[in-house]
Amino acid sequence: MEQQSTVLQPLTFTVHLELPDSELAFAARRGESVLAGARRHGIVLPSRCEQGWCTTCAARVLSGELDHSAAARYYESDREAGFALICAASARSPLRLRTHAAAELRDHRRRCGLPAPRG
Amino acid sequence: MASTNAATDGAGAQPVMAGDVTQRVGIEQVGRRGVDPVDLREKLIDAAAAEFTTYYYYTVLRNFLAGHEDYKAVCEDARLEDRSHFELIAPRIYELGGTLPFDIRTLADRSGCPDAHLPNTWGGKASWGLQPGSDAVSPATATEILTVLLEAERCAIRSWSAICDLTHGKDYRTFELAMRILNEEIEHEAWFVELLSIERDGVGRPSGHFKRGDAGDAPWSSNRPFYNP
Repeated sequence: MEQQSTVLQPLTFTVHLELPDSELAFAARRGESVLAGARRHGIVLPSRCEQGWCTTCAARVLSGELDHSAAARYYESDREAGFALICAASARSPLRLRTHAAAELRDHRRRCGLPAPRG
Repeated sequence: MASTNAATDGAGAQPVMAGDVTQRVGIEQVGRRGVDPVDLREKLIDAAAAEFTTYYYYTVLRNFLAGHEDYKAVCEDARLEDRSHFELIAPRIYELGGTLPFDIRTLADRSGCPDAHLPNTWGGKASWGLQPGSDAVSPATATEILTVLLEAERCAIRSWSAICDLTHGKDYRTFELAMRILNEEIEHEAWFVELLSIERDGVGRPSGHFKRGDAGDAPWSSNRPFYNP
């Protein structure tokens, strides 16, 4: 008789946030954006377009992996430089993020000749 | 005792000398009140770009609301009013010493809000029809289109709210223009909440509004027009 194996996927990932003046952690659900998960826990983070375009929500990825497939505009160079657009990115693993990195991402985009809207 | 009069004290930019046409008091006074005029005008360009691209994309979206004439009419009001917003804010960019980008592709890339693509078109890359040369058919439901419209309005509200915050009590002219635009964007959100709620969920959530008297009436952004009568 053939034996069936099942790989159990975690339903949530722990997300640690380094905010400008504090640190917080919460459990993000698989598939939800980090921003949406933070909101469920009463954590207010910067955002504007909420579709992964404007860079207002940018964060530095200190550890972990995110899925940016829902982001409207996320470049490979953003990923290589360690930035995430948390309004449209979901956790693929436990995460440690430093939030409020929009100015850094915009500087990076400008150095790369990529769009970096301000408003 | 230090002066607290932002209009006359020496803080910030160099004062404009009589007869000097290389400087503008209209910019100097903004800087003295704590707003970086260059940063502000760049934000205004990005916000203006969002209004312009939205005007374009709504032109597409409204055409694919076949069978929902009421939705089309509301989309048309929002479309024309977004164009009014672009026209209302563009002169302010020049007054602050800036310019719209010379290349429309640059303008679109700078938009502070995402392209409001017709859903299920692979980010706008799909050509119309299923076969080359065939008629355009809708790839999206009314619910999908209304969702795009709603989120576009929400991005606009956040953008103009940020500009109002930045200029409140400091740059009276930009604040007044941004406030007019914000008023209409909030009305647009209410319209699309109402329509999406009934279309998708079967729940009535009234906007509190009736249709505009004339299409794209823009009661806030063109009630006392600067340049878009």
